[in-house]
Amino acid sequence: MKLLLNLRKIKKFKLSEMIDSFSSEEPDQSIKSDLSANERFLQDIFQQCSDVVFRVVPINDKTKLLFVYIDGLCDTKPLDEMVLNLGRASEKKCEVFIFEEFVANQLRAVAQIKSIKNVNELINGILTANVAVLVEGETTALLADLKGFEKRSIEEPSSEPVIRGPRDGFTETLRVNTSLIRRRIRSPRLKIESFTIGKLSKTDVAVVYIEKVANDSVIEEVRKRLESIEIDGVIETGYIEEFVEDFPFSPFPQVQNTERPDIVCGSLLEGKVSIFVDNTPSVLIVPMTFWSGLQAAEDYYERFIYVTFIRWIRYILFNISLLLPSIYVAVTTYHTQLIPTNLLISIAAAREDVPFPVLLEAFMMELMFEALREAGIRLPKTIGSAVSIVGALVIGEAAVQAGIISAPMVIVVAATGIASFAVPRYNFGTAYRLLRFPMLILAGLFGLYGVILGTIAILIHLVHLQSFGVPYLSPIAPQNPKYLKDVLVRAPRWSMHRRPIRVAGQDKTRIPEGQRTKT
Amino acid sequence: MIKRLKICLIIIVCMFLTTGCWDEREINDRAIILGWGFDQNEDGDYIGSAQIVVPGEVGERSSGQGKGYIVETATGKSLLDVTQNLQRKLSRNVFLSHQKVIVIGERLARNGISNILDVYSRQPELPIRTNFFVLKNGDALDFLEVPYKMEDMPSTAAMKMFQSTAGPESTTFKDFLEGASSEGISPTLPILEIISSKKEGNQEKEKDSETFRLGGRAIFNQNLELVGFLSYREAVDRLWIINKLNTHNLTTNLLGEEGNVGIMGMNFKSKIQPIIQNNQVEFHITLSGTGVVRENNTALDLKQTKNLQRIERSFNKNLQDHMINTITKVQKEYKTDILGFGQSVHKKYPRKWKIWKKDWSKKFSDADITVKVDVHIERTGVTGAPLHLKESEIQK
Repeated sequence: MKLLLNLRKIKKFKLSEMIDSFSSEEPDQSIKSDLSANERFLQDIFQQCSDVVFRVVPINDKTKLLFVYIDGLCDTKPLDEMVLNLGRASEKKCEVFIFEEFVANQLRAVAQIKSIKNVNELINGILTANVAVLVEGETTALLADLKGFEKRSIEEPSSEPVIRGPRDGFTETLRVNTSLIRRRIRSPRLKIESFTIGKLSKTDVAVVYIEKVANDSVIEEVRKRLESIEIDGVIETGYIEEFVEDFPFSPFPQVQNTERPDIVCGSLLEGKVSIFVDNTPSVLIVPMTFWSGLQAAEDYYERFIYVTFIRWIRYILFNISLLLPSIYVAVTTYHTQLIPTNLLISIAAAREDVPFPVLLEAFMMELMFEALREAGIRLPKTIGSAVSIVGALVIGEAAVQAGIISAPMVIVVAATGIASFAVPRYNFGTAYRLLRFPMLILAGLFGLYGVILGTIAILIHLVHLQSFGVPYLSPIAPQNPKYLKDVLVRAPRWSMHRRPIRVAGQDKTRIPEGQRTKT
Repeated sequence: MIKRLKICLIIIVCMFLTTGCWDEREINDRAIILGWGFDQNEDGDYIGSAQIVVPGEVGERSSGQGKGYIVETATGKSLLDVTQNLQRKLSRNVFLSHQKVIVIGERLARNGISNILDVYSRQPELPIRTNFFVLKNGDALDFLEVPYKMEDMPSTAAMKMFQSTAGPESTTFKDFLEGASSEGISPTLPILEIISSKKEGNQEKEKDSETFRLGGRAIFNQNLELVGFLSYREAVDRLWIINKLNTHNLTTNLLGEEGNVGIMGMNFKSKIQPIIQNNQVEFHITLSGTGVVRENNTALDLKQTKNLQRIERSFNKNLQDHMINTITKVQKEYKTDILGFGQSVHKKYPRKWKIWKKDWSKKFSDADITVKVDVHIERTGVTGAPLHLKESEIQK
């Protein structure tokens, strides 16, 4: 009676609010012994939820079972077999026995089960892909973990391909993702802490780290920040990223994301902490430094001499991607003395017919380039090639021939574009992509003076940035010569004895000394 | 947040306030001047002539239309005045920072060039490292109008000619100023000469047009007036004496024999020793160098040491004679110390120098000079005697 009263009260609210109230606010509801009452109750809650299946299975005259599950989330095959077994068993011996116990044992053979008495737990269980089994005349329900939904298989992430290295990538399933990590680090010290975030979505979030390798204060900070998130739903790691970032208004990302388990494992071994979110393949790694934005996974798989060379190429290209257009504008409009005479004459000859000032020309071209890039990302692959043809023909060829854009400007923009593609982490490259435009304006207004001012402003900002207590530019600023081994060069494995100091926990030694091959 | 915004605002305002001159100008609004010529007319006004790039024509130069540059002139009392008057003829802004050469006409050079020098070191836009030339027998304007096929701009050609022949000695504007302001040595400048473009030895077939070549050195006295010229060969002697000769090919006739020998000379050194006796200065000049035989048009077998010694003797004798001629010409004809003898006196007899420096050119022209040349041949090349000679013809 009390329950019915309660139900009436609840009916006045909307469905979503109802579920909310059941899950968190009224934990004292318990399951009744009357099966049909329970069924009505659940049907009320799952009103208009066409994917919820209520299956009443009569075992014999007296006993009935009620299965409640969400269609598509559960694998019901073992359930069917069990029901057949149950029917047979009850036919054979019609003795009085604890039927509940019997069902539980049968279920235990096919799935992990949990017996509960609380309605809220029951509803949550159903929503997280469990099959709820209710028995006539019992006040406990069984939750059988029979997850069996469709998932994508493990593939190489198309956004982070490698030449050498593992080709598996994360999928949308949290458990698959954590298993990829566990397969690589088979230590009980690898901890996977679970959180549930999202009032409606109830998304599983896992914080993964290696005990004593990761710094406790960083782990504690991650926990704290995750626990304080109040949000209706978490669809992607990006939702979490914006809550845990230290400086949300900075153009530079302070949280690294990846779809590659090998990158995550490498970072975990360096003492970083990663955050997994269910239903997305991208995984967050904190803390992030400026330099890790310019390091690729392959840096640690290829030979170190080559990698050192490639790293320096990347550093140079990274700066080119920021500065080249603005330096071109500054030098051609303000500091013409700086250009070698022959080059100056060539540029002047190329610009002779161009009706726009250099700054406007640069802006137009940069804009077109960004447009091409943006158009290329989301177009269906069949149309995608059309974009590049139009881009190459219209901008590369026709605009120059018509004398609207000068050829040197096309070269500058193209070189900038190529340079920006050399940044191994996509979200890190976007920072300089953004900053290129203010730098262009500064160059157009103040010449090299403006370019230098802009660069100084960026540097000040970078020095000021922190990610989970780690200075963004470390170990360059604040400088720590010991740890430059993995920044200025990529030292051979056997010589990188310690973990990066500011991130690591108590266990600082990675590789004992003296492991170089003696010849 | 508000405090931070305030700080940002202050910084941005400061950026606008602390800029220098607003000199934003598109490349196509600049008249890029590559060569600059200076002359003087009868009234004493300066005539500036400028070789200006026409960017639109540069690309089409290969197709034969347009030559890629124009030459414009203007008169005025000073360079500043000239530039201002020149600007009135030009639709684009005069841009002097890319000058490759500054050429001075002979007439202006003889009248003295001290009045046009200051502006080059004072204005920041004007490059102090421009190459500086004197045009022998003509006006600077004539030079700027001579076409030159190999380079886009004739001015660049003059600069490159100088760089490829003169070795280590640079004569940028800066060097000239240094020479003019130091004591005991007078400044010199390289010469450009306008010559007929006819190929040497082929006098008839070709049309007569003009081209130019690098000459020797123009000699300036302490008042920066042109007093005379050294030929190209004499200029090499001067370089050797002032210790700036790097490598140079020398050819000499054999003493008392037919034929000549050419060497590539290296490691040229000179030593000037002033000796003062009875208020009279005497200079002993020792010149040394090493050489590698590159050409042997004699019958001598160079594998024999005595033959090598003969060649060395011929070199020493001939070079010595030439050197004495050059020095005497400088001493007696021009009476201007461009060889740094005054500096050597300054170093060795500082007190005497203080008394002498006022009438140094007279003392210099009266000085006795002895020259000793010591060329040492180190290598003879691959063969001993010329290979085309028969065994009987070779002198052992």
